[in-house]
Amino acid sequence: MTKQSKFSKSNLSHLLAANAVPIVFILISVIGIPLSKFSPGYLIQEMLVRLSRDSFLVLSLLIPIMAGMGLNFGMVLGAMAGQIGLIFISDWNIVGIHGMVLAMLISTPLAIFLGWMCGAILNRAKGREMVTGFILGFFMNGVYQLVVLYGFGKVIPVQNAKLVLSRGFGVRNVTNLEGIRKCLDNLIPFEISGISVPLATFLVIAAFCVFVVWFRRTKLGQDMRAVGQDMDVARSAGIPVERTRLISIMISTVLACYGQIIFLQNIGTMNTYNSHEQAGMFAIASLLVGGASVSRASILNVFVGVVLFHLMFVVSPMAGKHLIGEAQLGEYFRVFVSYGIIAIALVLHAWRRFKERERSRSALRGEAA
Amino acid sequence: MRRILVSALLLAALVGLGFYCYDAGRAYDLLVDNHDITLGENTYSGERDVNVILDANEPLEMAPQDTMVSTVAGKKHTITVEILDENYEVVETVTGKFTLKDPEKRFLSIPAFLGKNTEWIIENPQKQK
Repeated sequence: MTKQSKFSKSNLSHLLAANAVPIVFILISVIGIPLSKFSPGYLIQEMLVRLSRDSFLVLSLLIPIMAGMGLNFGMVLGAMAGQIGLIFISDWNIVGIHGMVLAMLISTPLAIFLGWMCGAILNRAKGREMVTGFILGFFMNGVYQLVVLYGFGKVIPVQNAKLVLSRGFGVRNVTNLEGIRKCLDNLIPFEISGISVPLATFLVIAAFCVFVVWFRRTKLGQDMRAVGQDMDVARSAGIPVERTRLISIMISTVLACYGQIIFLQNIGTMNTYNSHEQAGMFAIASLLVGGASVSRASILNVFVGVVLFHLMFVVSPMAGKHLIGEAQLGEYFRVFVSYGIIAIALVLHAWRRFKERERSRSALRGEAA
Repeated sequence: MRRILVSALLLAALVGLGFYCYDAGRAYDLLVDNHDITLGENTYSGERDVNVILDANEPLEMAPQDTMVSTVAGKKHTITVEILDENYEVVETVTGKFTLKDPEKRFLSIPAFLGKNTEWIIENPQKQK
């Protein structure tokens, strides 16, 4: 009996430790929602919009995790490629769903190249993929800024005078995407009790989820899982480890590129020099909030994470305003949390690994006894 | 060999899709004009209030001798002109289809369209001057 209660206690503590981040966020939301005084209808609408906007980007992180490469901080490279495609369609004045598809087509080869480059570099930095990807993002940000700030208008011809800076070259800080704004979200108009549902975007996300499930069962998917579990064993089994890792990063980068285009079509405006930076950070934070770790993530983690993370984003400024009379404090809180959660999740991941090792050691000792 | 062929076909399909998207999604600013106009030997009067609907765009409510701008995507379009009476009630509706072929011709003369002149899409007369 005592042994059983001890076992269930350890199970409960393991469950709490495994889901510590989502639990903390659920608690913050439970406290914050009544304080914010938002109506349920408003919150549901906001969550649906944000789910449709962010889910694709966050889903693009799943495949590298499967291949044991951790959180793909290099996804910002894909986001940059997507933004280049959007700059082109804005220049050519291509609107609607055609514009969005064309932006995806233009940016695909660029995303494939950037993904290949990122994967090749990460293959040389095994075990340090996340920090390498993070720094690579900074490096490529410089290249992106050089291309967009000097290349457009000087090397790459730009016809639309509204797009370039007054000096004649370089793209303006803000690119207007009015032509493709909500073109996917409003493709299939659908409303339930006054709440509009971006059905077409959800169908695309559902197709992506089906792809992820199907991909896991393919030969390549199985190879990725094997590589993710143990590279040496996978290599011994004849799996081309480097190639598999490279492909996982390439797929993730291309999908991040599409995710960024879907994200920006919803927003309708692009912060030319910063949008991609925010994309990486918020997507990773969302996934971690959903209970994923560096080595394990599921589709459920994506949706739970996006809802919890954005629920706090919506609720915290108003909760701060009603609680202390300062919306700025809530705003500060949400920025602090978005960065802080990544640190907490990484620390928890290290702590969890330590605990798991301890658990397996004690289990072994138990069996021996 | 088969693999190369499939890849080439796939690439060609994607390039084709790109060209189609470019063609079908390109937005054009059209000048919709309700001024009096003389085309050849015929003169058409723009003295009527009209609502002009291009594709599924919001209607342009045009007074006599009025010019407005509308943006449309792609080259093939439909136009619906509602002719209004003094009480702004619709008395007649005329619909038509048109294709933007010449990149210089972006000026839609509504009086010429209502007068059934086939050359109602012309180059901007202000630009010609």
